[in-house]
Amino acid sequence: MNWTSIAQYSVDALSLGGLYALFALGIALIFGILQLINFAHGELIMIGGFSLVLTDSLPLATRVLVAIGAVCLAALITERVAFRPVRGASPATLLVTSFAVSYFLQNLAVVVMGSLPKSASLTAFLTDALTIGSVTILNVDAVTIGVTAVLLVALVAFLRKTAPGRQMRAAAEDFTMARLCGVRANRIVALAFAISGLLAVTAAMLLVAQTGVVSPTMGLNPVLIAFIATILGGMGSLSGAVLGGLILGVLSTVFQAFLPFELRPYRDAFTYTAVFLMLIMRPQGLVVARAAIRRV
Amino acid sequence: MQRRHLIVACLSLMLASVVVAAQATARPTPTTTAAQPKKEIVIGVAVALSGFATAFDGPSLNGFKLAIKQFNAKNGILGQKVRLVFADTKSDIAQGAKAGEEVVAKGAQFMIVSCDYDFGGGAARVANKRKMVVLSLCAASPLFGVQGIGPYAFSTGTLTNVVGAVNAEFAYFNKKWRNAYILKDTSIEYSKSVCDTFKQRFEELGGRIVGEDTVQNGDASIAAQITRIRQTQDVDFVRVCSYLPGGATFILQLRERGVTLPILADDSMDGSFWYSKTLPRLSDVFFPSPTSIFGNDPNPAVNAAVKAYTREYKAPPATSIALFGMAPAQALKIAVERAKSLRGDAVKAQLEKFENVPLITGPQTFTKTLHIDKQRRMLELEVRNGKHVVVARIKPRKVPPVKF
Repeated sequence: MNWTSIAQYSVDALSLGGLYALFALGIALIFGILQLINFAHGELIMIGGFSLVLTDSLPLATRVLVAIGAVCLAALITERVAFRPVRGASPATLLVTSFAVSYFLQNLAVVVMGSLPKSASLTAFLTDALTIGSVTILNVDAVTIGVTAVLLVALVAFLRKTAPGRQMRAAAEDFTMARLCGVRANRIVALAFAISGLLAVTAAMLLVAQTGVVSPTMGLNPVLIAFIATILGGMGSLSGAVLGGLILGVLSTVFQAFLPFELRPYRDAFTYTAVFLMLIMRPQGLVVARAAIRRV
Repeated sequence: MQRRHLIVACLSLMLASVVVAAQATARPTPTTTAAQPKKEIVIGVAVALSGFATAFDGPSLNGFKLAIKQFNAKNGILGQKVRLVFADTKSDIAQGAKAGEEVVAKGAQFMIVSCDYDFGGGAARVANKRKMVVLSLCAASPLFGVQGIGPYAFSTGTLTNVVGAVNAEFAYFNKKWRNAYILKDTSIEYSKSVCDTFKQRFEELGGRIVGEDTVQNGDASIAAQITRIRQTQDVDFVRVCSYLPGGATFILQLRERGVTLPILADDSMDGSFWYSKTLPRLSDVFFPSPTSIFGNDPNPAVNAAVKAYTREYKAPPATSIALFGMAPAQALKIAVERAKSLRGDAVKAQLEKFENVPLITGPQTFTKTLHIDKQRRMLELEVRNGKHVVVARIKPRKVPPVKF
């Protein structure tokens, strides 16, 4: 193993980790506010993907805007129709509701778009490669890492510095108290869902640029990874979720690169065993969100 | 208060299930209909009419229905018109048996089930128990037959062992390639089997495996695997054992990340819809298929079938799977007419005598112990500049033996 290959593997790992972190941000945001693990987040990514397929012949800017509109609208509709009626119910009820929404949207996609995957691309720029020495960096790798970092910073700034952000944090800490203090809960929750839609559509664009295909089940894997990343990072903490996503991507790449061939099919088992061990050492996750600590 | 709600909910749920069960059992069971002479033949189609398995069952069922329509336009089967009755497995393995019972209740004399051993198995066992001949639309597992279902089950699908062997012999004899790099998708049995049988046959012929790696179909990126390939010397070609959608991603990423080597893929990568937007000028990708849907099949019957399919459904078939559904219809017709009877035993006996019987998918052979062809002839297709070219027609000299 020489330095070039270590450098190349590092790029591979960071790119995958960045994508996973982006998946995790959307899950962590909604969980932080509503204690809802939104499994339908994957289907928001899928809707973003199909929107890109359907607008294939249009200019890039239009495609991006349409995708953002479609996914944010879908996020708001799921909030209004499915999640608002069960707001404040037990976490189990919320979880089952999100499964139902996820399953419904997947099947709707099969009915409307068919179950065959569709070929899709975003822009040729993302698949151009930059070669330094013998290390190849695809633009999409660099963009994924950059976009995830920017979104994390922007999201944290929004939550800390703006009025709606502060209200969102207040709602996250104590929903009832926030309402009593005059926070308009419905508006704040809807805003959170719209932002999660924005995260989903960004993930969708990068995922499409990476994989080149869109299918009704494309959201399944991302949401599972996001869920685990969020738990690893510490439920409710945004920077924790990003850290969790990065760790999953890096571990997965490291095991893929260094396990002996016979053990490589069990890469995910190794990755999740490592996650398991980390959780034994830190059951509350790597970063503990302040809102997660219940005060009496 | 809450507990009372719970009790009421449970009671109403129980009541509802009793009502549903009563309705299900109240359906007439036509035990006597088979004995009466009929003016029509009823074939029960218990496949996925909704859900994810429609990716396979949808187009293959279209092919099946087209073949039946063509028969009915002439003399039907054995001079009798064919009527199809349907039940939906909803792409749920657990619903298979129920769908099987449903078409039996609707008077089915033969049964057609899903394009997969697991998804079609439930309904197929219902048919087999009644000594009713049952054919899969295109199951590829050797278990779909005597060993996994029972003596009345047959599949005109292509064994994964044949796919592996055809690819190995194509690489070794036609292309004179000697050094393979294998990327094996370990997420399902199909992709593992086409890989293992390829490797077995290729090494047996004298080929070398210079590198091997694994992928999972849901992997968003195989950058790490590609880094390893690029560090390997003396590779003639990359053998990508996978299926959609992952397979499309892997081939795209190989090309984007600078691997220009020929790629040897599987029959699961048929069609152009999975690369049309990302790699419109894709080249140097090879895969075997029983038929070519691109108007260039050496067998004119296939090209005619593609035209008929396009006319019937106002769109060309996306993959060869659409044609696979015609094969069980043809096999059934030939066997029934040879048997001159609709009795399960007689038709089964005729199917077991099939030796190179020409079906749309090529010469079909069944034996008493193996109800799927163990040495089918296949075409090898090449994707060249985004277009499909038939580059070889291979009946494998030797196929790794089927293991149950």
